[in-house]
Amino acid sequence: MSLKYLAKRVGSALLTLVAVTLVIFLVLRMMPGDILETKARDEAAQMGITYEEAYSRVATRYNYNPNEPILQQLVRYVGGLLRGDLGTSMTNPKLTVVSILVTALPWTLFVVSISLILSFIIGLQLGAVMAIRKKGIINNIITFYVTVVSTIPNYIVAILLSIVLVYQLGLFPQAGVYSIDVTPGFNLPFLLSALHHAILPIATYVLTSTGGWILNMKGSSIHTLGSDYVFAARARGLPDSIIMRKYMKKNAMIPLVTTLAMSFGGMMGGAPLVEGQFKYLGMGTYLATAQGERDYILYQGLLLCVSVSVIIANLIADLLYSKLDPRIRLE
Amino acid sequence: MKKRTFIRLLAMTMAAIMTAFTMAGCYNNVQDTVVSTDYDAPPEVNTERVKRIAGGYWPAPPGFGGNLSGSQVGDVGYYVYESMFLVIVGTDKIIPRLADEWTHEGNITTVKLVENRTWSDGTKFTAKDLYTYYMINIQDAAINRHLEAINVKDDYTLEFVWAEPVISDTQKMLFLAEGWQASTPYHLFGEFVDDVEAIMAEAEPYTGDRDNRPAFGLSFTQEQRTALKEIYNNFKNVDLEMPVGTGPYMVDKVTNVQCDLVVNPYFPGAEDLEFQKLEMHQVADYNSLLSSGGTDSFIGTLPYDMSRNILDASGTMVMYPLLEQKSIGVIFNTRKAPLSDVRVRKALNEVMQRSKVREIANYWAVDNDVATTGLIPSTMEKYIDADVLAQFDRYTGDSEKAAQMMEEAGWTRNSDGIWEDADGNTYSFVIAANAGWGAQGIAGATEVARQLTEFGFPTEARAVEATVVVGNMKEGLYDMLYDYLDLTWNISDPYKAFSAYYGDVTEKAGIDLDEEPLILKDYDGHEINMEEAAKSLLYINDEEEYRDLVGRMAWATNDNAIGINLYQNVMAIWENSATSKGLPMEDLFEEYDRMMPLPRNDEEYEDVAVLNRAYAPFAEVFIRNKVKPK
Amino acid sequence: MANNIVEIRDMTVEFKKPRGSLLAVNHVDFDIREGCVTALVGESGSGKSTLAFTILNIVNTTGNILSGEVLYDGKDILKLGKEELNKYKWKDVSMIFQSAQSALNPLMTIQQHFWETYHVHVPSAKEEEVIPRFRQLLENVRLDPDRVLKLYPHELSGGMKQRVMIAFSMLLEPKVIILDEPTTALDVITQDYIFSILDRIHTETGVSMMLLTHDIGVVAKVADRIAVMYAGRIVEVGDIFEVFRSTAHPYAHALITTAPSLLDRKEDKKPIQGSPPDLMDLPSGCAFRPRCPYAADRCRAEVPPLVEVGPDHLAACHFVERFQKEAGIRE
Repeated sequence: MSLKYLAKRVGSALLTLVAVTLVIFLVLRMMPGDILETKARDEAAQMGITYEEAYSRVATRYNYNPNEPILQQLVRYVGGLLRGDLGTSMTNPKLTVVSILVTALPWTLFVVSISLILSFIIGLQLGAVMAIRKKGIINNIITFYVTVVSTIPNYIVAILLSIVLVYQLGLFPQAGVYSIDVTPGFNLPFLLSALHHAILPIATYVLTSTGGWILNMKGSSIHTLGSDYVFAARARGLPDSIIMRKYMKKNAMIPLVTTLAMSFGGMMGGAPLVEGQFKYLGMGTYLATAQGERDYILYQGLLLCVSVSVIIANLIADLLYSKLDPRIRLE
Repeated sequence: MKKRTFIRLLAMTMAAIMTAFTMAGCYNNVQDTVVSTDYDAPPEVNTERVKRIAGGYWPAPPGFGGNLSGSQVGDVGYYVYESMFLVIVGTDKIIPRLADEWTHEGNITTVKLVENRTWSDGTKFTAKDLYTYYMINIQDAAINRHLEAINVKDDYTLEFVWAEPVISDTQKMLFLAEGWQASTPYHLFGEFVDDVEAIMAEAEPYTGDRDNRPAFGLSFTQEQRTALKEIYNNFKNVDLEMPVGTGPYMVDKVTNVQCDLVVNPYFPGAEDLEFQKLEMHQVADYNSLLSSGGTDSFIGTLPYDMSRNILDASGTMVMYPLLEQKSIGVIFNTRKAPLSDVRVRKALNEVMQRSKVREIANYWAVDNDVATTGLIPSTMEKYIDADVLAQFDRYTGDSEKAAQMMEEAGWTRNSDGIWEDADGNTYSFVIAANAGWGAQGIAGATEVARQLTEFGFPTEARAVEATVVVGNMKEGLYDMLYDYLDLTWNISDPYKAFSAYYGDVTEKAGIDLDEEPLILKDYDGHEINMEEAAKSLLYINDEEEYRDLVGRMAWATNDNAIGINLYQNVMAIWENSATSKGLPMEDLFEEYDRMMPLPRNDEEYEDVAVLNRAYAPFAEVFIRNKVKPK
Repeated sequence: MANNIVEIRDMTVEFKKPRGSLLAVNHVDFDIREGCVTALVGESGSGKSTLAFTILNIVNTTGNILSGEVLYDGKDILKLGKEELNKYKWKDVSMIFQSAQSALNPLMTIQQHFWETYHVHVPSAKEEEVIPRFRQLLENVRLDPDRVLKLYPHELSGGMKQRVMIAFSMLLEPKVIILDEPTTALDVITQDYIFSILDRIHTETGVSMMLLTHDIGVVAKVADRIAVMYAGRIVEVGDIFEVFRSTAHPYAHALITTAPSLLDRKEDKKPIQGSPPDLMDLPSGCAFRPRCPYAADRCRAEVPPLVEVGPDHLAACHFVERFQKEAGIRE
């Protein structure tokens, strides 16, 4: 793959990024609604002060000057971007967007990557099995599972898991990314605690998304199985194991690999409802909070990060595709 | 393992998962739950003296810190800070904390502070720390507008010099009880005080009318105000690692879902506190948490069947309902016909069957029979004499009577049962509800709409997003708004109630007080300028005179009927009898199966109210040591 | 007389379709004589490919073998266990598919193909030791091994692919090679070239060949024996000279005479009247009856059996003599 090709791709990626940033910037500021009012009410009730006093405090606290002209805001924002400063959250001046990203992104990455890989692998195996067997009790179970469980929204699965495994059986922690009793760092109690807390979110994702992979793989495999070269391979006396692996799976897998890479990029946004159920502080939670609080700066920063990951994922998908399928060559 | 075996295992796992899901779903409907409700069963022993508190919000690290105004502390602050006084919401009872003694003489109130407090970082607490609070919040603290100056006489004495005309003593105390005053110690924030004082020294005295008197009677120029805002900005950007307070507890560790608070060693009597550790937990599913008895304390109202389920499933949780200082009702857009006609408004008040709305929207609430008085309904008896109360219009939900009222106003029902005015016009209404309220808002508004439609005014209920709904109502986009009506946020005193009402509520009803003052007649026919009267309440020292004016104003407001007060909110406080003893009304647990009734007298009320940290902040319930670990 | 190296006895293959079921191969006996090129001729859909597939027991997944046996070296290969069957495939009998079929895995290079099949059959082999053999095979079909071994299938032209397949079929030095319309999709020049290669292979190695085709011209050039299939049955079979000189079945005769040559005049050419039979709805009796100018009542009532009509010459027709007299083949 040539340097010229890489340069072209990176160039178009940057252009996309710029366009995305602009659109997000403008659209956010067009959203209606006075967030301060809701916050002022809460503040008044909590602090034992009058509503007006609360409103005034909240307004000052909000790091945002609505009277500043939009162009100036944009220029300031872009200037900050180029310096690597994504801004500070409008609600909490202690939080820079970068610090939030550093907190949230690793956890989302952790959970998402494990979930995707697990569901991909399981989906691949089961999809292949279903394509080969065509009939049988195992096929029926899997089909039933896919139809039923995959159509359940992931947040409902999350709730079910938490009701049974967290509250009734007490096997898993209630919330959070790690226990309050461990110190973050490269030590065993922390790693174990992080894993323990991650299992349920991962389980939720895997349970609900595996079905899609199974069906995908099954379709692709059936298509591949019907092809001439599989037939010819059988004529050559190649055993089923080799045919399944090198002739069917490898070929059927190719379109799925690109889907995998793209899913990875998309899932960087986390799933707010699933994260919310386990209070798993990932990108999804922050995105939802930022949106609800009209925290433009934070929202922009997060979306930028997600956009970048989607673009990178696309790039990787293309590269992977050309590596896996010799018929595709990048110019 | 072999491929085939692996596949089989996977398939079996899938089958098992589906079975598990099905069973889990059914399990919650099973009537005969496993846990017994036998009180003789030996309780769990809370040897560690921990109180697990569910709910609440604080920013997740790294956003968590010690700057309260920088949104770094959140609800954790309820246990960490103190003030001169705290007010028990609902009774307006004032309890001294940092204030030891106080006297009112003429226009000076002298407050002597306790001398035994130390900040959680070891610095001694002095009067200057409170002074810092008032200085930093110079433009926002409401009390400042009624003061000439605050003087720090010595390390433990503060002098509040009131401006003329001096407000009543009651109001003085209420102002002194406002805010979390000991949250900005001088040794951490003192620099800002100097900056503010410098600007104050250069400001000119204010010469305008008393209603708009700024803080300390100082008229700030535009630049000075900008400079003050800048100071406040810098102040809230101060980065503290942990909250520093004088309160009984301090933060030990915090994550995004759990905050551990331990006893502040500097707090006098720290070792005697019954609960030595507080664990605050945030979870997503409080329902399940309560059902499994996994927490000791929770504030939150749930529908009746859910609450009953939780009580049965846990076997040990106790639910206390408590009246809130908020009522919910319908606000009319009085600009638009026919709601501009008070007779129509009264007729709608009459036809409304409030209990039906209450049952649907908030099972626990207490419904009312007045239109809207400006006062919180449960406080009416406290502030208004009985003979005056007897003269209030009461509404019974009698549709015949309501129809009669409409006819007397010149309306007739057409053949479809729809009301027509004298010109033959029919009207249909749109009632908006705050979408962020969830079921309560939409269900209630829908029921209101249904009743009005049945009466003869086709009404549509609409859920509107939280951040726009109030703005839209103020612009007159809807005919009615399902919203808070007679309320205050904490203190129920009529001055607070009326000044909020003639401002916020009237604005929603489309009444512009700046354009034209609102003059209403009281029960004797006297005219009252409502806004002026509300402001005047601040200065009335004589209790009888105060009560008289309050009664007249409430009556006039009710007569004007710019809304329908449907019900007063009730919220629920949950406690765990397995881990705590000494809970209120313990002897009634069995009789009510732990779903307690509303408190029957003031003492019970106070015992229950302190369990809610918002009703009695600064860890008041823990200081009382009435509730103990089992 | 030479031996039969492959003997098919009473083979019946059923295909189930949504509309109903049909017999693609209907009680067929067929022999491949050792060292000879046996041509199997018939229209598309006559059942030739299906019959050929039974020799390797790779009848399409939708097909069912209802009866019959395939004897090779005294054993019925249909009864062989999986491992034995795999050993037999390609080592004893190999197959060259229609050039339209892509018999090669798009993800593997030619060398990988060769090595894979070789390794499966000779597990003890080492790749470096057999590469010279691969090269020789490719040179035998006039391909440059330095280039071709490293190429992927999509990088080869149609003719090159077919030559690779020929080389591939010789990989394990089989006794029988089945060629399923090997040149149908190729131009006449390449066709000629391919057949010259095949001819050379046959001469040099003496390998038995079964050639499926519907091109009589090719048959005339290369075949030693010919069998004609119609509607799932063999209607004429025998030594090539015998069959050409005294064709006994009207259909075979029509096929042979309709082969065009440069000397023909267009007006003299007559297509075989009627259309190919619907296998699901066969006419009673002889399947060719609707199109046969010589049909009589007996043809409707009885299916004509395959009987001897000359030395090494069998045909399935009730009225051979009458037909031959009327067609001018014999007086």
